[in-house]
Amino acid sequence: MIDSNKILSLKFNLYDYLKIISNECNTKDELFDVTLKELSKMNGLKSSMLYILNESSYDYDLIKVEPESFQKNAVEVFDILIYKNVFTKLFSNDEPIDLFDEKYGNIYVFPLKKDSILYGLIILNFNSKTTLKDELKEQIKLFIAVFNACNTSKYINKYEVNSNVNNKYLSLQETVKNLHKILNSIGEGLILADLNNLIVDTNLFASSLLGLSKEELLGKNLNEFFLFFDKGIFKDEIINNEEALLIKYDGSPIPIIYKNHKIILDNITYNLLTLNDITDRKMMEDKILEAKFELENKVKLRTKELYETNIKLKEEILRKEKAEKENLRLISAINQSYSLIFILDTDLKIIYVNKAVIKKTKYNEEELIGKNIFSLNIIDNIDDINSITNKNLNKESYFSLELESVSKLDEKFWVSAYFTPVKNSNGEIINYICIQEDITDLKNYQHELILAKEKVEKSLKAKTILLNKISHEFRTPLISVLGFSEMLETEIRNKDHLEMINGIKEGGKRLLNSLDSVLLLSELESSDVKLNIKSINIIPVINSILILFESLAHFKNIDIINEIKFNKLFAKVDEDYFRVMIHQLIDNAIKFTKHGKVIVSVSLIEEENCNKAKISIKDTGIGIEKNKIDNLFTAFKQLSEGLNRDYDGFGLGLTLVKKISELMNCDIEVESDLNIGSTFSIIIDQA
Amino acid sequence: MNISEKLINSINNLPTLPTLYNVITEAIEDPYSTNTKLANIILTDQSTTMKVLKVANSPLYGFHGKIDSISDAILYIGRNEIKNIVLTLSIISSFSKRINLKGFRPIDLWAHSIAVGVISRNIAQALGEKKLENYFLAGILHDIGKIIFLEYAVEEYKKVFELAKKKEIIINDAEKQILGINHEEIGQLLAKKWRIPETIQNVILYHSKGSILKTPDFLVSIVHLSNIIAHILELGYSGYDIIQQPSPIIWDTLKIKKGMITSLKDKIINDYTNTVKLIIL
Repeated sequence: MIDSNKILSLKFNLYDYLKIISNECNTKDELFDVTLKELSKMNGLKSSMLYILNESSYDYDLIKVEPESFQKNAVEVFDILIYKNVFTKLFSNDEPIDLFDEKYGNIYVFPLKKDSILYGLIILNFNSKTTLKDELKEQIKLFIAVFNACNTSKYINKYEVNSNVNNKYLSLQETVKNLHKILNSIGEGLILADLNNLIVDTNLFASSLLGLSKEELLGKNLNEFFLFFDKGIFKDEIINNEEALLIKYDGSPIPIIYKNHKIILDNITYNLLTLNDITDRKMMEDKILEAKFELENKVKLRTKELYETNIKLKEEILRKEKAEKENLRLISAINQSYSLIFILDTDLKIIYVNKAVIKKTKYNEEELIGKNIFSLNIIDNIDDINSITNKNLNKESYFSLELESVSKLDEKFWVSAYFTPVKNSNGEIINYICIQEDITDLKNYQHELILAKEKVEKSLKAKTILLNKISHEFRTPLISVLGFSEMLETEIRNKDHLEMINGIKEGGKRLLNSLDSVLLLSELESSDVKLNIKSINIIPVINSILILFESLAHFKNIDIINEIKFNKLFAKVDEDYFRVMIHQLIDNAIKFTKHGKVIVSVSLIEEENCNKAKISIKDTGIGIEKNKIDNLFTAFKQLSEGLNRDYDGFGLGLTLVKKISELMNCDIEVESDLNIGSTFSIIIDQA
Repeated sequence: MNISEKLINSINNLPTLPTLYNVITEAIEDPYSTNTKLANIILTDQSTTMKVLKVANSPLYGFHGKIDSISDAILYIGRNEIKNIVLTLSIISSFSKRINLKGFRPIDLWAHSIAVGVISRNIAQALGEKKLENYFLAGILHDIGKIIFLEYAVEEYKKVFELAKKKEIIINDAEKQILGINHEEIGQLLAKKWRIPETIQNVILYHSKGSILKTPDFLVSIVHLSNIIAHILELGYSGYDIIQQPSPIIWDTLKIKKGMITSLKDKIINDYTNTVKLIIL
């Protein structure tokens, strides 16, 4: 039994206890009272406490404490049990548990169990020097067994601990087990911490979030696992859905969302933290944000595109408006134009006509559209037109035709038609524009002109033929006159008769000269003159001519001065005609000079590309008025035309000279002062 | 090879900065590069783009979610600051956060660095500084040397903490005694290798003194003060509990008015929590 000699001995007697509780305890309170009082008799015991499970709150209520002054300490002792995680052991074990606390010393916790349900605790607090021996523990266990028996059997009715309660305990035990299972299997971290943030309990999820086992976590400070700015954050009453960073034991961060509730267990306030891992949600948020950014970016790009398109569109509209205005202007210009304007397709079918066309042709628009452009024309040789158009149609530039057209009312008119190709941006011809001008009047004038020309040509020819004939008709008898005069000259001795014969001979010679000139002129004017141009030395030619005139000059008392300084000068000329030119000019010079001199000279004109020679015949004769020089070279014109002709001859000389110079491609220069003299020069190419 | 040589050597083996940062730096230095070109460079890196946008929208810069494209970010925040954000993100992501020295984790150090960055920027702004770039980056990088120690000499660094605690000396002296080089010196070597601007190298080298060899420097002073404030507010943890006295020289340099820091406290704490969440995750 109980060894009373031991330092620690139970001062109560189990037998006495049984006697007391069987006789004196009528109520639950009395039973608890007696029990604790009996236990208090132990040596070294500081205090004893009794906790019983509250059926409604599932908390353990402090029922009794001995001595009563220990009331406050009882709560602290209970806290210690919770820190040290005594309860889990008590649930699974029927054995008493002992622990040491610096403040309270040795604490022994005896479970009160009924049908495996922990319905209460008896806590014995000894000073630090006192430890319970195993025998004593067994004694106390026995004592508790008695207490248990009293509580459940004898006082079952009195103390409301009936079979119902038993059932409740049973189901409660199940519930608690299930609750633990549930709490461990939910995907939400649960951490129970006291007000100093020391971890008291966690579920499995929380321990895996923090990277430590539940046992390692207990007693650790929660702040170690949070990267918070405010260490006192858990002092707030309730925190709902705060985001925070949880730092795993290995240092890696986990984004969480957490709630903090204050809960009171056994009159003690705790923080209950529920944690949710929001790594996935964060990732989703990122994805959403990313999508949003992407979208914004796209919207921005699209807006920019739209803006640009809008600007382009506006420009396009402006351009079109401008083009439209231009078009209108163009169309009204085309419509009001007096020219006939057609727009043709590539087959030359009319697709547009302006008003002038309608007015001129008398056809209306419907009649014209679709017709071939040439259907309006009178065409003698359709093949010619076709070949011209086919040749020109695909060319770059325009081509023109003169066509005779006929209106609906059978009025004929001539047009000059210009065909211009119209190309698209690829350079392909898509249309032709045909602009026609009425050239009927022009055509008429042209026709008249041609007729007039033909007439003139005819009369000129007749004149040449006539002159030719006359000359020959005149020449034949003249030759007889001259021949007979010369014969008579030798026969006649009478001086007067001789002078008459001489007069006849001179007159005949002049006539012959004139006739020769007329013949030469008509020969030159007929279109089939052939020159025999060769390179010759012209100096001897000129000299020989001068010799011919010496007797005449002497007779007229005029000096002929030869100022030619060259012996040789080669030029390309027809010798016969050149001789005529020089002869005529010297003859004229002598003819129109009453006294004084005639000077013949040759000078060289040396220019860059060609060497020329100038043959000048200068006289001191009557001269020519400046304004009459232009008329000099006209046939049958002597300047002193009219009644007071002092100089005989037809006036053909200069005309001949001019004509020959044109044929030989040489120039004639005239310088003259009235009553002072004239200089005629021939400029010829040197050979 | 002694430990300090080993550490300096380790700098050569440290990860180079990501190409993205170098390309951006080049683009910024090119006077002819447009913002669009710069934006296109950043857009090539999807995750950096996201983070830059998130940081740009954080309360630290005060645009509150109005920035929705990189080109906007460049426009509002500035080319250099965008470059700094990219640098910050690449540096933090290039170091491991999973070492756990007893009571000291790299993540706490990063949190501390972010706090110093946030505080520096806030103080500079409150002092009317117009050019706010570099303050955040300077704060982030000021303790980069400690990160190197944690990465390459974790066992020795444990001893540094123990020594500092036991003898109650400042961490720089403990580092010198055990490692032969302090975190400021090794940090500056790394910054030099990364070709980080000299102004920030100075911050790394002189942040505990508050001036460059007694020459006042605005940026160095601000980071010096912010470091102390971060300790007082317990934002992050830099490895030791001794709170330093601010160097007297900074008061002349900064001319801080009474009550200014207190009035900034709420904004600092708000910016800090937001920025930590953005950058560390």
